[in-house]
Amino acid sequence: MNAAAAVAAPTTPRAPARRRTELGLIVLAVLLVGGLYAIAGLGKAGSLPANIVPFLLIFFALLVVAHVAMRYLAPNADPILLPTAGLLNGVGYTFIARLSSSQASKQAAWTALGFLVFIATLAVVRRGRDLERYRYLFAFAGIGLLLLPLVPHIGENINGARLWIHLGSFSFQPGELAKLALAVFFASVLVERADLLAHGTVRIGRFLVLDPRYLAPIIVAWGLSLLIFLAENDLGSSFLFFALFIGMLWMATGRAYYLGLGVGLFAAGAVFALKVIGHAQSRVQAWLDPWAHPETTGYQIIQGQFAIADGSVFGTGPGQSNASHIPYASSDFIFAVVANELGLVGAAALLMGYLLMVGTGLRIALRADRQFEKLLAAGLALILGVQTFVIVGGVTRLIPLTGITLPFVSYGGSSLIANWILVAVLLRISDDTETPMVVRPSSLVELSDVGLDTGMIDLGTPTPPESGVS
Amino acid sequence: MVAVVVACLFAALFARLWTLDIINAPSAQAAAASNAERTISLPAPRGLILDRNGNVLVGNVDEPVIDVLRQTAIQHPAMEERLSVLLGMTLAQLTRALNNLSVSPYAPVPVLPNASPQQILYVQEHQALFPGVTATTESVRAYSPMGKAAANIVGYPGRITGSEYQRLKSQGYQPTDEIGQTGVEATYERVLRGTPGVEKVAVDSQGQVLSVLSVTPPVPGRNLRLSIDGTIQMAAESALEQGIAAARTTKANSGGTYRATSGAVVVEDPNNGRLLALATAPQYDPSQFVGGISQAAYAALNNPAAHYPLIDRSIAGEYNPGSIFKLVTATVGINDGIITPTSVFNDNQGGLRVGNQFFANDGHQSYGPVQLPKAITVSDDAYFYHIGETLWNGRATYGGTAFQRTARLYGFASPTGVDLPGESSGYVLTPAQKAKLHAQYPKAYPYGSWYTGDNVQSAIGQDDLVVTPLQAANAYSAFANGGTVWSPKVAMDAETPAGKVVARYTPKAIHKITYTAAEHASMLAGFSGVTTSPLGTAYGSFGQVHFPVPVAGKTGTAQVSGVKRGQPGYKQPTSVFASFAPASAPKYAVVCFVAQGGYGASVSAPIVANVYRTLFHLPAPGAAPASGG
Repeated sequence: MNAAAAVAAPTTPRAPARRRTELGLIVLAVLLVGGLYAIAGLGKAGSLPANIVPFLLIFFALLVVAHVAMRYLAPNADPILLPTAGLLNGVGYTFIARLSSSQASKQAAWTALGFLVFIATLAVVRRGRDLERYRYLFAFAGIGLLLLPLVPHIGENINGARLWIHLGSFSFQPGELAKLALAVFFASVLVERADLLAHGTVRIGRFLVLDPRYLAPIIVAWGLSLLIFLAENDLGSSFLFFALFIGMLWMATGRAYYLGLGVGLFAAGAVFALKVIGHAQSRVQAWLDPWAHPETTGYQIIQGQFAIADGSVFGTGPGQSNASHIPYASSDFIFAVVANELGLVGAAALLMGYLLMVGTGLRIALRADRQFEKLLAAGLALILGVQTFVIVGGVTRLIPLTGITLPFVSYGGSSLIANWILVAVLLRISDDTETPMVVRPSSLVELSDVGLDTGMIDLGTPTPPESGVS
Repeated sequence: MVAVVVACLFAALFARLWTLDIINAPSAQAAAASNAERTISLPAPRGLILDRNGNVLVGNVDEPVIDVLRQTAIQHPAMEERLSVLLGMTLAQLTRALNNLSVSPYAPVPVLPNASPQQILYVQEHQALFPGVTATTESVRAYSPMGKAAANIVGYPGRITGSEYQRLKSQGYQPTDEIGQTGVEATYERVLRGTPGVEKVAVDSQGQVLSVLSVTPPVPGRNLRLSIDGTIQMAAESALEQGIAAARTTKANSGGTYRATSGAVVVEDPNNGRLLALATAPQYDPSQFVGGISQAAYAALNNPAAHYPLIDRSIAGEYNPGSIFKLVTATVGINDGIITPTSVFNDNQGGLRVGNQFFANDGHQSYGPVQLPKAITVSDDAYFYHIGETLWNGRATYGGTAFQRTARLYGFASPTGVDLPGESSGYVLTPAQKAKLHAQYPKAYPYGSWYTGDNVQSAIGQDDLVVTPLQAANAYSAFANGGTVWSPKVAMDAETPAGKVVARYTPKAIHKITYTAAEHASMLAGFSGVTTSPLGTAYGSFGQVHFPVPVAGKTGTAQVSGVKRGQPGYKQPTSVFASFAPASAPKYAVVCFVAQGGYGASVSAPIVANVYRTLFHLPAPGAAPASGG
């Protein structure tokens, strides 16, 4: 068995070093979260939270268990992702606990479950390429998950969006998992057809254009999922999905005109949404001028703006702001609470955390040997990055607000589970790449002429976090 | 390149954060700082409502109430859970109560009015468990038995409505304030309300009160003293109730018993237009409105089977007056020279033939040669038919509306101007008004032309005229005092809590009717005979039982126009008695109306007699006899 082999021989001398780094970073993350938790308790109630010791022990234990699992399951994987995700998860929990004790206990359970799922994913997915073999299964699973909330009795409307399924007292947003399943599907299909998509084969006049046949499965999957999102009235996920699809197409082919096509399609879709979906109209109005309806549609945005401005450079201090009155402070607007209490400095640090994760994801993509893993890793990194951009941009009124979660930080179990799976898959790909192989399959070398290896992912452009690690 | 795009997107986020935190923050913070001062309105207790002798009709009691400071509650979710258990609410209900946006965020939110003493005590003893919760008291209206009997006069205050608030907020009203809704609570709102106090507090960015900057304590409202006499009001209410109950067991001419659906008694001082009692039946209990009336109780008050107790019949009930209107007919007859105190009308037919129509006396009784006093005493319709007929046939001489003009002079057909809301005006139709009504509502008014018969019917208070009990009392007051028509009032003065009078309210004389001494004496003799002569229609309630105070009055038994007897919707006659006493030097005018009560002599006259017993401190009757007439 593979597991037995891995246990028996931690393969390279680099592995312990990477894992030692990881453990060190984990300790750092736990110290940071513990400090924040203590200060938030002091700020809010004037005393240390009663449960701080068990909380820190459990949090540390979860990370250490995940770390030990990594030693066996993915010993050569990147050392940064797990501590960073753990740090974000812990910071998120601290803010949720500061906002609502009842949500905090639920989030704690989801966090534990998230770690379990993380380990389970690493244990089940032993090689990245295994995922490629089940591409249509993933496609159907993804679309099935998206459809679930539309099923009567199971599905549930919350705040005008139909994203939830309800089984007993258990509610879940299957769309979160669907993103991952469809990313796998896109990656496998795009890799297979990268050449055909990059070069036109059908001549129209002087131009060679793409043969639409090759795009069909992807277009169908994308259109279907987009329609479902619109039916469920979830603009944020709709946009995330679209961006993922266009981004992966672009990365697979190296053709910038897909970006152009994406912008054009997006513009058309936006005009359509504005004309047809009242929800979208009010969102755009609230973005352009929240003060037009300060008590209704603009209320949340205005309160968020006040909270951010109130934070200024260093923030009010954890637990000391009045941000809890913002609607959905613990989920959609948790970034405003962070900016309020930790200020520009804390909010920027949080964004740095995401940048670090996205950068690491892209680096994993760059280093991956096989084209599928490359594209999948890049797609997953893109999901993290776009999701962060959409919600933080929405809260700061850079772009219209759409309700999606801030990965790892917002309250919400489905999102947390999905993001832990996402990190597990990235780490799996990273471990695949870094584990030395006795024989490199020659097929992998021949891929040098497709987009990913032609400078699309360009490490030469320095970005702050990437220069800090490597 | 992907990294470039990602870097660009994140750079945009950083830039945006920078804008919000560094560039925009100073203006937002400045705006926040200017909000650091808050003013809280401290409600003033309403003034008391007193009767003329200083008895409290409406006072205030401090009702226990549990208040929660919203800003503190947000910080202590565990407290909210504990409190919801203590108050027997769900957490959701408590949260809804806390989020009542009509209460200022800096003022405590009343979450449980009428808290039990145990709940109050528990909160006070476990204050540490309930941060931000105060068990306190709130001033609410309390009604004495006299005040309950005067519900229609005192009225009740209620939570200000949205439109009232919009109109009055410039006067310092708060969205949770109470404001007089009916009765003198409404008309003298400005007197009773007082001046709310103002507390200025400094708050921090979380809205928590840091310090009290200044306090202007509330000034309680002025006490309002009414001319109403609580004892008389209670006597009038109970006499009316008893009379109505008796009528309901009396056999009616139309079969069955009288329905006696509603009624009113008015007691006025004819010498100055002050009102001593305004009884209405059915009456309601004003204490139901304290703290907001329940849906069920309000529905019950508006149930047709309950005969709409919220309508004050004394000022808003409109009834055909019947024979008591002969006061007007006699006056116009004398003034226009149709009759004199000594002129004789020969009633030998038991009625009067006008053209081809015969107008009969009640029971076709004929009274032979009749002069004015006897015509009033026996209520000889033919005598007054004759005046009505003459007025119309001689309209070239008298003008077509001589009768209506005199009615208006007595204060009929327009509101008396009493200081209570919701007064009706009644009407005494003129030929022109009737034609107009016919044109507008041909179904309800099938005839537009004015015939001699219309004047004949008006002359005995039937058909085209309705009056309110207050108008009737006011008209008889005018006759009693020699012709001065008052715009009556219920309020006497406004006083500080210490009793210093700060405003006086005096009824104004609005018309003057002139009589010669002989004319007045002749009519007075007629009205006195009603109670003292064995022929008089109210002899049974007064002369026959040796009533010690000389009472002058007039009975009325008014057919309700519209539906004929035996047809669906038929209404039994209105029982009316209008009077004043002592006859020679009147101190009180007392009027009673009972809708669907039958004869004036058998229902209203005994009620009025009972009111006089209280007014003149007479012993209760052994057995009040009733006779027809």
